[in-house]
Amino acid sequence: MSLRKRMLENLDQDIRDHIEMETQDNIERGMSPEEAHYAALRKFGNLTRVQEETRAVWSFIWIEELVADIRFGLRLLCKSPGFTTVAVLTLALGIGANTAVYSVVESVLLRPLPFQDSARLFAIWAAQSGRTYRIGASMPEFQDYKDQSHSFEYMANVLSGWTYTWTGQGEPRNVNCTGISYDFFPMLGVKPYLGRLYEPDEYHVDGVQVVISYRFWKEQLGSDPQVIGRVLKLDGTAQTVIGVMPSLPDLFPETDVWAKDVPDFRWMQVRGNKFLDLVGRLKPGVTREQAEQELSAILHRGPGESSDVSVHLVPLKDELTGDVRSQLLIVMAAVALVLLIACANVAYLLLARNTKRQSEIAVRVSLGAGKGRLLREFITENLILAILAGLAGLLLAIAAVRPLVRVSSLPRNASIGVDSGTLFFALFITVLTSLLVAWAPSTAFSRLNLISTLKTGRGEAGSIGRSHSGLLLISQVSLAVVLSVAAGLLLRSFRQAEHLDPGFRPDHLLTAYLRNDDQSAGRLFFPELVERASELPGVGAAALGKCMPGVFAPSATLVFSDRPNDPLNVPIGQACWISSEFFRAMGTPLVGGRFFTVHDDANTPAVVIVNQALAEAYWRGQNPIGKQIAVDYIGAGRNINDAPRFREVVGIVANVKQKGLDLPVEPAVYTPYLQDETDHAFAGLNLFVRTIGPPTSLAGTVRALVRSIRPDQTIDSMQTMNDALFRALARRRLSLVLVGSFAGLALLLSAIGIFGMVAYAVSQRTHEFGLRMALGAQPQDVLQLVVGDGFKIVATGVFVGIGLSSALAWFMRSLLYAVSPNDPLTFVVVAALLALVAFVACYIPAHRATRVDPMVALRE
Amino acid sequence: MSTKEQREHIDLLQGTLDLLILRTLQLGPVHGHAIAKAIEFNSDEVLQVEQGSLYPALHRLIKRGWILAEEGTSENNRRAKFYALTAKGRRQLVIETSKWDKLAGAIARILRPAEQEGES
Repeated sequence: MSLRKRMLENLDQDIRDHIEMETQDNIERGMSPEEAHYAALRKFGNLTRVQEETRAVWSFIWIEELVADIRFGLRLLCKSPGFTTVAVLTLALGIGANTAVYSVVESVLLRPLPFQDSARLFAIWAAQSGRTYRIGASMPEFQDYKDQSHSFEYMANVLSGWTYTWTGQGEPRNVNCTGISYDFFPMLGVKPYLGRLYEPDEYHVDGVQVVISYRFWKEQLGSDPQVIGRVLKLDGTAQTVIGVMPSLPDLFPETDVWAKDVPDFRWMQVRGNKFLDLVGRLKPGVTREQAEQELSAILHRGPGESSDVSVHLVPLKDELTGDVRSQLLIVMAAVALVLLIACANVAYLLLARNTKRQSEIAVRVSLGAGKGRLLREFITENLILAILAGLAGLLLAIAAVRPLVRVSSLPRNASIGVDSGTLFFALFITVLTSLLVAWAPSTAFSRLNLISTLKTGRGEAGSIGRSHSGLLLISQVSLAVVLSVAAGLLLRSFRQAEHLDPGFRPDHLLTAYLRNDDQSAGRLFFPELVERASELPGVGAAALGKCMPGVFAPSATLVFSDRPNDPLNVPIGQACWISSEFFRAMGTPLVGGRFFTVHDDANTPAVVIVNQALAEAYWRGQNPIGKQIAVDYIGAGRNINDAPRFREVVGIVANVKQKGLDLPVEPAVYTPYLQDETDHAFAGLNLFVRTIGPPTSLAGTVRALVRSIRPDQTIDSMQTMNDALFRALARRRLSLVLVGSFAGLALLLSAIGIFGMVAYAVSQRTHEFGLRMALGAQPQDVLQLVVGDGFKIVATGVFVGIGLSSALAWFMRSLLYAVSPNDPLTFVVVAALLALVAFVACYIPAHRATRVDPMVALRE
Repeated sequence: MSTKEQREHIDLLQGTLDLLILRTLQLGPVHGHAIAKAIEFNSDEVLQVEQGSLYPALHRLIKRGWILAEEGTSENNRRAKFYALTAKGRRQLVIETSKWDKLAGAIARILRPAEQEGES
C-alpha cells in the first residue's frame, strides 16, 4: 500500500479523534457537551477544506479535480442547452471567421516565398523623388547594374504580361509569356521539372527553343511525357520544347511560356525604354539601403539620367502581394472586432447565468469549496465552451475558406487553406476567447457576498457585475459602431466608384482584345476591321484603342513646346492609341476642337487630343487647341532612339477614368493609332463595338467578321464593358462584402446583447415594476424607465464608438475613394442605425415589463 | 465568518507552522491534538492555530520524509496516530531553526536600527 493511500485512509478518523479530544478538553473546562462540540468544530476550522487541502498535499489531486471539473462543466452545459447553443454558435462564428481570414493572411502575407534565401530577394525599381510612379529599367541600365554593382549575388530581369500566338493546334490561341534573363531561375534556386533551361548563348537568339510552365504542360499539352523535343508553332516560328518548369503558384501564376528576354533586339537597346522589372538577391550582410545607394549612383552615371531619380528595393514578397496588404489587414481587423463582440456577448450570458447561480455558489463556499477551486471549475467550464466553439469554428473556417478564395482573385492563393499554422492560430484564439469570456464573470465571483446571498436565497438583484454588464454592453456597441462605420465608408467609396460619371457610357459596349504578331499586316487589317464592324447591323459605332477605359491605360512622358521642360520633373500622363471613332463609341463628350478622323494617318500632320485634366494642369486659362506636345510612350516595343515628334492639340475631351473607376482622373493624351511611327500600336488593340441591342447578342457576328477578314486572328476576352468593369472592381467588392457582412454580424450580436441585458434586468425587477404599477405607475412610465436605462448605455456606446471610428478611419483612407474618412453622412447614418437597433432591442423586453400583472408580481 | 480571513490566516502560518511542528516533535512522538495544544500552550496562547490547518502540514512533512506516523495510544487510552521526527527531520529542524533565527534577526535589525547602533 502506498504511503499516500495509507495516510489518506484514516484521515477522517484522525480528524474525528482530534475533534473529540478537543471536545473532551472543553467539557473538562466546564462547557456543556453541546457547547463543547461546537467550540471544538469552530476551533478546527472548515472540515471539508482541511480534507481537500490535505489530499492536495499528495499531489495528483489536480487531475482528479480536473476530471471532476470537466464532468461538472459538461453536465452544466447539457443542463441548459439553449444557453450552450447560443454561446457556442456565437463564439464559433467569431473563431471561424478569424481562422478563415487568418489562413488567407498567412498564405498571402506571412508565408515566406518558397525560394532560396527568399528574405534577400528584392524587386528593384526607380522613382522620381516625391512621386509614386514606378520606373522600370532598360536593358542598358540593367547591364550597367550587373557590371558595376557589388551588392548582389544575382540580378535578373523579367518582362511579364505579353503573349505569343500559338497556332497549328486547333483554334489559334494566345499563350501568356513571361520573359526572363539567364540568372532568373538560378537566383530563385528553382530547377526545371523536366528537361533543361536555356544556355547563356541561347539568350541571344529569339525563338528556336522554349521552356514551358507546369500549368501549360498539364492543361494544354495533357502532361505529355514525351514533351521534350516537341515543336510548338509560336508567333509563326517553330520552337522546340527543351524544359518544363515546376509549378510556381507564387510567381506569375498565369505564365504559359517562360520566354527569353533577348538583349540583342533593337528596342531592348534603347536606354530610355524602361519597361523591365528587375529582381535581385542581395549578398549576405549587404543592407537594402547600401544596395539602393549603389544602384542609384550607377543609374546617375548613365547618360541623360536625372539626379532626381533614385533606385528602390522592395522585398519580392511585398512586391508580389502589392495592394492586397492593406485590404487584408482591414478585413483582419474587422473580423477581430467581431470576435471581441462575440466574447462580450457570451461573457454577458455567463454573467447573467452566474448571477442566477449565486445562491448555489454561496452554499458551496460555506460548505468548504475553496475560491480557487470554484474559479478553476468556472474556467474549465468556459474552456469546454471555447473548445466546442473552436472546433465548430474550425469547421466553419474550412468550409468558408475555399469559396472565399475563389471569389477573391488574390495573389498567391493556390496554397490558401487550413494548415498547421491555421490550426495553431485557431487554438490560440480559442484559449484567448475563453480567457476574455471568463474575465468579467470571474471578477464578479470574488466580490460575492456570502451572508446576504445565503439570507435572501438569491443574489441581490443584479448586484453581481451590474457595472460589468454595462461596460460589456458599451464596448460591444462601440465596436459595432466602429465596424459599421468602416463598412459604411467602404460602401460609400464603392457607390462613388460605380456611380460617379466615369467619362464614358459602359452600357451597350462589346469589347475584345485582338493580338497581332505581324505589324505591317496589322496596318491593313485593323482599319478594315473597324470600318466593316461599324457597318454591321445593330452597331452604332466601332473603334479601336490600346487602352481599356476603367481598367487600363499605358503611360507616356510628355514634352511641351511652350513651357520649360524640367528634366528633374518630367511630366507623365496616361496615354492611348485610338482609332477615329473611339470617343463616339465610348460616349465621351467633346469639350473643344475636333475628334480624330480616318484621315489622321501616317501621311498627315501629327495630332493629339487631350483631356480636360491635362488642359487645366498645364494650360489653365489658355486655349489648348494648337499647342504642341510630344508623347513618348513608356513600354516594351519602342524601337527607335530618336526623340518623339511634336503633335498639335486638335481636341479636348471630357475626363475619362482610365485606369480604374476607383482611381482619380489624371491628365491624359490620345493619339491616332495610324500615326505610331514605331508600329507598336499594332501589336494588339482592343475592339469596342457600341451596340443598339444587348451587346452579347452581337458577339457571334463580331467574331465571324474578325475571322472572315483574317482566319488566324486570335480573339481574347470578348466581354461586355460592364463585365470588364465589374471584374476590375472585384477586389474592392470583396473587401466591401467581407467588412460589410462582419459589420452586419456585429450589429446582430450587439442587438442580441442589448436584448439579453434588458430582458434580464426586467426579469430581475418584476417585483419592483409590480409595486410601481400597484402604486399607480402607468405602463408608459415603466416602459420609459426600462427603455431609458438601456438607451443610456447604448448612447454611451455609440458615442465612444463614433470617437474611436473617427480615429481609426484615418487608417483606411488608402481604401477610400471620393469619400472623406470623416464622411458625416456615414457617421450620422451609422449612429442612427445603431440607435434604431438598440431601441428595438430595448423595446421588446420593456413592453413585456408593462404587461406585468401587479398582483402576480407582488405575490412572488 | 468570512472564508477570506481564514485563508489569510493559514497563508501567514505556512512554513512557520512546519517549523513549529518539527520543534514540538523534538521532545518525542506526539499525536495531532497534542501538537496543537503544545503550540498554543508554549506560545502563551499567542499563536492561535486553526487546528484543522495542522493536518495538511503534517501530511506535507510526512511526504517530505521529515516525520513519520505510527499508531499508538493516547494518555486517556485511546487509539491515536502519533507523529515522530525522522533523522532527516532532525537535520531539517536545525536548518530551519537557523534560517528562522537569521530571518528574525534581519527583520529585527530593519525594524529597530536605532537600538542596534546604541548597543554597538
